Amino acid sequence: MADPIFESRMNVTRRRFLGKLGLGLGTAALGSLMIPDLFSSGSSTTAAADLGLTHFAPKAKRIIYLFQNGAPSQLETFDYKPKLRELHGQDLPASIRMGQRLTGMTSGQKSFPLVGSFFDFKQYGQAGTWVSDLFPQMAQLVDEMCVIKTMHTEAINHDPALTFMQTGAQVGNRPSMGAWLSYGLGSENENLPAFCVLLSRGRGNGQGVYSKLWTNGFLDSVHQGVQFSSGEDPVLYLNNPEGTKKAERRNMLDKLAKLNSMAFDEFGDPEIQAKIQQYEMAYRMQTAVPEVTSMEHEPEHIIRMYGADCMVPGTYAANCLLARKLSESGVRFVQLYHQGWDQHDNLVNQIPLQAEEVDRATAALIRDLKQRGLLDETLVIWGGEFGRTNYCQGKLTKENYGRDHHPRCYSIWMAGGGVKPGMVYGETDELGYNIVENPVHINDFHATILHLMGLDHEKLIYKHLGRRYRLTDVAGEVVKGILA
Amino acid sequence: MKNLRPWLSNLIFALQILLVLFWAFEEKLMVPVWLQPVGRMHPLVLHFPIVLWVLLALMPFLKSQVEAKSYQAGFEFLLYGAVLTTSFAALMGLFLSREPGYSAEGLYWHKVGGLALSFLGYALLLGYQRVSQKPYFSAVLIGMVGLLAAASHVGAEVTHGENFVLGPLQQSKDEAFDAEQPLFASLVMPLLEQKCNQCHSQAKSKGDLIMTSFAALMKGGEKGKVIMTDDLAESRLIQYIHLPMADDDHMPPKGKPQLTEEEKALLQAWVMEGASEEKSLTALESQAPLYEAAMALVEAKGQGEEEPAYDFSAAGEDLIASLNNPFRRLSPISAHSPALEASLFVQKAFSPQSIEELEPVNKQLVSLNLTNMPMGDEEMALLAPFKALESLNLNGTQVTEAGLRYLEGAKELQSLALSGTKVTAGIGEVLGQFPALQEVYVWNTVLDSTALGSLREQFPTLAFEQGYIPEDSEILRMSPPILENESQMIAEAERIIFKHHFPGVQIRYTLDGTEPDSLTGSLYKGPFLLNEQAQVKAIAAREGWLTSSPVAFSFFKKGKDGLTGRLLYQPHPKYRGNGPRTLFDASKGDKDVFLSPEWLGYQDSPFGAYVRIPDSLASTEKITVSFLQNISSYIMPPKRVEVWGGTTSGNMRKLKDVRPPQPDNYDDNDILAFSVPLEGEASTYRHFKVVAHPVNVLPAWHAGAGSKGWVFVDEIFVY
Repeated sequence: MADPIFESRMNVTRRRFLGKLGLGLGTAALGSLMIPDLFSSGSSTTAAADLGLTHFAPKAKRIIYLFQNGAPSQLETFDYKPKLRELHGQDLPASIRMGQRLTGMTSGQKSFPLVGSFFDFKQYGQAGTWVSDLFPQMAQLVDEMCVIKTMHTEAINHDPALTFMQTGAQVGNRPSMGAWLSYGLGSENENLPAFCVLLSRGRGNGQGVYSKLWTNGFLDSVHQGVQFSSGEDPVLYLNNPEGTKKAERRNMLDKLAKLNSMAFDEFGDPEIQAKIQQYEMAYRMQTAVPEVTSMEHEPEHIIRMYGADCMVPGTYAANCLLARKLSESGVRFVQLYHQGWDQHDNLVNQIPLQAEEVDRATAALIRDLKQRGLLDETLVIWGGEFGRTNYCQGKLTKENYGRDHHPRCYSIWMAGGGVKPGMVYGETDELGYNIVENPVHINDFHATILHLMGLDHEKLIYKHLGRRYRLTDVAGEVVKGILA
Repeated sequence: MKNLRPWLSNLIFALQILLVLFWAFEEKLMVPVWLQPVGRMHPLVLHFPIVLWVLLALMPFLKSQVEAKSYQAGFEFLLYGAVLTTSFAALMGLFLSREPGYSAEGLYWHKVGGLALSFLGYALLLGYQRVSQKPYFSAVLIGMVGLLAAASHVGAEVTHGENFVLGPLQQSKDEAFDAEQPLFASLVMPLLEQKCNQCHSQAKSKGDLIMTSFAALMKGGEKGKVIMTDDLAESRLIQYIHLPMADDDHMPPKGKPQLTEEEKALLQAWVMEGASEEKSLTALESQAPLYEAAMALVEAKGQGEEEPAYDFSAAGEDLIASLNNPFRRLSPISAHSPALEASLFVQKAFSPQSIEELEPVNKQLVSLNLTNMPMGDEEMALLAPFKALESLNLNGTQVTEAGLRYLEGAKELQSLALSGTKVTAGIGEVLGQFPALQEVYVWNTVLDSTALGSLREQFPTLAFEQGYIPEDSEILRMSPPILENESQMIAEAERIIFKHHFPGVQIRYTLDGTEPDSLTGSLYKGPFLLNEQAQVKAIAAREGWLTSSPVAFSFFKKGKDGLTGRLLYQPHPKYRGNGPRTLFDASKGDKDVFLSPEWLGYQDSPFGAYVRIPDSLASTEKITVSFLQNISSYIMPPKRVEVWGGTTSGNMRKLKDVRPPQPDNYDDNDILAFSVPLEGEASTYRHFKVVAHPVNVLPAWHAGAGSKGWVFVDEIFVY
């Protein structure tokens, strides 16, 4: 008993111990009131994001993504490689390929003869951007565009590459980019889906698209992309069935919502709430969609601008015009897919057909947004899922060649919404095989898009199955060099 | 005090528990609105612990002058007070830190300091009786004051900014950029000071390189010169900054503040331009790389504070929420901005109230989108109260310049979108009322290039966007007619319907396989009947346009019912369709989708089928087989087709043996019909055999030249 006071203080009785413990637990319980998610294992957590609001002032409010499905050749469009013409027919040096894995389509090939573009390139605009003769209209607009020549991916086949490009992962269970934006920013116009999908098919060799590309993944199903019909009516069954009045419809929906709410109270399944919202939106779409698709506010010369194909439903041109109308009406993310860019063979004949269908309407979309003052707040993206090889797939003849899939570099462009106009970002080697400067990975591409929309890609988070997910998952850096 | 002590002790204990809890789950902590004022009192309350801890540290000086018991009581009183207020201040600080707008790094250390002070204070409270007589007790108290000072200092930096105290004594380094000044002094040197001089100065001079003056920099280091104006590649300064991060020679070294892209570009351009100490921006041409690099750097420095600052207060969250409905969206322009933007949607939902109801936020509303709303000049009066507007979108409304007069008070207006409105040249009299205006969109109005020319003269600083004007000389191709029939398999009395969405378009068509043009071919006047299987080719023509490319559709009329038969050769296992039924199910395949139950595919063996016509049929006129053409998928017209017929299956004669024409290029996908008329005796035959041989060698122009071709068949008709 060296220090009686100390000993006595250390000699804690059970009553005192329990008393303190009780006080401690009580306080912790009280404090936990302010930490609503402390014990929740559910999936409704966002770390720091105020949903529905941007993290900082956005440059772009809406996106129109002109996806060129099948992977257009960068070497025939935006990545000018005169050296390939010089070396035409010579074998690709192994030192350049550096063990790059090949698809099953060329892995058996004995030689890899380099092939230069049969299509000429010229420089355009203040920026002096090289564009091939395939795109005479787009070439006029290079001063609005930021061409990125150094996109790269890990996937070498269409499905994983496409899924990677759209969802940030090669496996198909993650939410698509549009779904993330709908989740993070909400809808601008609640009378239309926040994420619309339009499909068209070109005349070249095509690859399929599947609804998993516009999936909501683990997000609430209200964020799912809504695929518009490529037929005469973009949205089917808008009219009430014959004999049903608007008021009756309203009445029916109100009753149905009541029943659904009861079911929700009983089971608590958030999908029931989503269902109620979807019924409500469908009801409002009955009025909103005809106004959007109407040609009433369009002058006749808009048809000259987009090309006459814009009057044929389901064509790329018609989808570009519809995309502008939807975007103008506050749809956050309009996703187009244009199939037919998979030129493994017969490239010389196919690619001009593809280009012709795409060129005028794409240029028209940019011009149209600009003349309405919308280009500043709308981000337009054009590009495919990977690039194409600098060597010929199959037999290289005097008249024709084909190109296989190439993940190491490909070209896309963006315009409007906070992107530096009139620039070319990144550089590939003179054979167009590897990147030598400023690579942009798909994760970086996504981070940049979110940044332009006013979102921090590291803060747009959804917790699912015990871990947090982002569009960029654990990677991605904003490409500062292309920000205006 | 004695009675209070257990209560206080418990309260302090409880506070420590809360601090531990909130600190551990900080990311998830949600401070309710009613508690936020408590958090905001942190800067007030924190003064109590400061004073009390300092007093405690001074207490030992009092010891010799005061009676022991009073000293003891006084000390205890102060100690309880200090620990209690410390814990409170720390808790409030945690609440306050959840509000946005604090820099993360300084805040972290401030938090750690505050929490440490609180926990150590509680430990002291538990154990001070045991150590209060020890000689080092004063040092413990002074240590607490030291910790307090450190934590408070970091905290003050969070609120007042770094270097607040000594700031006025130091020169401001971020002076405005002056184009007259030598670039070396105005841009290069400040950059070196920031990123290089920590190691390359008189004091440290790593590698014997000093970069604090022009002369020293040009002199170089232990390996010689670092700047060679005649050889950029040999300039080690430029070399090293461009090395990859992983390289040991990369400068600045890993872990130190790195050069930005703009800074690298500036250094490089400056060396290329001759590394001059004197040259200023004004001495350079605007195309010179150094000029561009300098401008880019200055611009990059100016960035950072991107969000426009507004001096008005934010509207209440409830007010904003109450003004939102499906047809009107009102929201802050970003999470922490008081400025609001609004859009109206759906013309049918528009009423004057849609705008009037926004008046409570007229001070905050900077952007308003009224695209396509049914608004004329009268409704424009509703916009008069919105004087903070910076951007107004009236595209597609019926507004004229008269309506714009109502916006007179909108002195901040920068962007005005009037595309598709009724404004006329008179707009020149109105635009003057917007001093801040920068851009006006007037596409699709009556304003032509002449009118705009004089407007541009009148307002030289304004950007008028006229938009796309079609060139009359550019003649475009019309889109082809659209076929309305859903299937190319037509029922009895079903008519062929074409349409075109462009008014004034003429559709012309042929039925004999020839190409129609704008003069030949039948003019389409309405839905028409087909008598038999036919290939319809149609075009669309309109004045001022090139005639559309032709579209071709092979129509098949439903043949006689009751056909049966079997396949003479097995189709390729991958393309087996529905077996022999495929041929007689009156259902056509799609010309683009060959992997389907509608198509039978053959490559290694010919297609062959035996067809039996029911005896009940009196006579027949024709037998038709339909093939697929999908050239890029190696599916070609058959090389040779044989048709046999007879009165019994064992007694058939060859009715036809032809080699259909082969394509010489990649023609479009198509469905081809091959017909044999059944005349005379043949019209009474009940047994038929059809054989079609695939092309065995694809032509030289084809990508698969030399390989085998395919034959695909979907249907056999008898009429």
